[in-house]
Amino acid sequence: MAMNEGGAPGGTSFEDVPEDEILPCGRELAQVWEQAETGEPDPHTAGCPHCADALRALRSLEDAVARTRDDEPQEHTWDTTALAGRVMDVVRLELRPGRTLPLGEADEDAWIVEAAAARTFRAAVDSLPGVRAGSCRIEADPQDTVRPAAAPPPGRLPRGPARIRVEVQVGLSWNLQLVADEVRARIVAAADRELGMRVAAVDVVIADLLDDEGTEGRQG
Amino acid sequence: MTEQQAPRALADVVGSAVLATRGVAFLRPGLAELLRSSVGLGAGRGTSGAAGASGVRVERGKGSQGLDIEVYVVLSRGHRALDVTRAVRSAVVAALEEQAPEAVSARVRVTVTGVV
Repeated sequence: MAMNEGGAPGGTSFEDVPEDEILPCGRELAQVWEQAETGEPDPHTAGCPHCADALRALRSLEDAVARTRDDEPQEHTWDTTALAGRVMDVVRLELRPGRTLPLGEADEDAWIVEAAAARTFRAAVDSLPGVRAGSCRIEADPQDTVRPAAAPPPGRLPRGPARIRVEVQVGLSWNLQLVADEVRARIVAAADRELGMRVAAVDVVIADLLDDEGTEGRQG
Repeated sequence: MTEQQAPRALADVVGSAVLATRGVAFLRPGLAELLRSSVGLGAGRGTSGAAGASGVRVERGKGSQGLDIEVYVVLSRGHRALDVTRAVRSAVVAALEEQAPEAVSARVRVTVTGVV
């Protein structure tokens, strides 16, 4: 699953973000990790300094992620497969963070990467029955950027309320106006309760309809 | 305490304060550096190979006595991101006041790079 459906953040400079998770030796990071997890010997990895560095970093990240378990409520317990997945999630968020968005008030210096915020919003949308979130983009609200108080640091959006655009697939039983309102409400609530991000507007695009089994309803 | 601590020592002070803040899971792990090295990118990212090095950056502010401090954190699920960033800033300022009083006028920028 792409971390930031909707593709690379267009119109913004992220030239230092690698397209693929390829190590200098040519091996793919996720593949090296998965193979090491299975315990199968690999002649290349055994002698490759890049793979060794990557595995060391991933192991230490795995320890760090595992320690967060103590901090979580009981209902969020997860198994070791989920652990490996969460490690790679952290890696991918770092590789493809998207733009950096403001948190809190205009005079603060707190930020969050777009991919992490978008993931929060998609999870909020997915909590509605029969609704699936797709692409989620977060922009500065053009209404608010008329006041150039101070230029934002490079790669960061101006410190104003955000405009969120989310695509959703919805079950046929939903009234479309109603589901758009519900999606908007979930996102506004998540922005406030989970992030602390000010929101100017939420644009909801009904991208597709789902039949009762949750599969896409439209044929061709 | 020396009159002018090396940025590296200050980064350690900052990093410890950040990690002790409730809601912080860990500093940005810096795995991207492993991949970037293949294409000659990442110059000036300030990594020294130390654990968590990409999670804290400390620089002398331009033309001022203050420091520019940037912190990149991954949060634990279930904590409000803005509240954690505010707590991180307070913890960093308090730690600097105590352990590096010459750095009190620091600007502290906190960026959430993930939630785990």
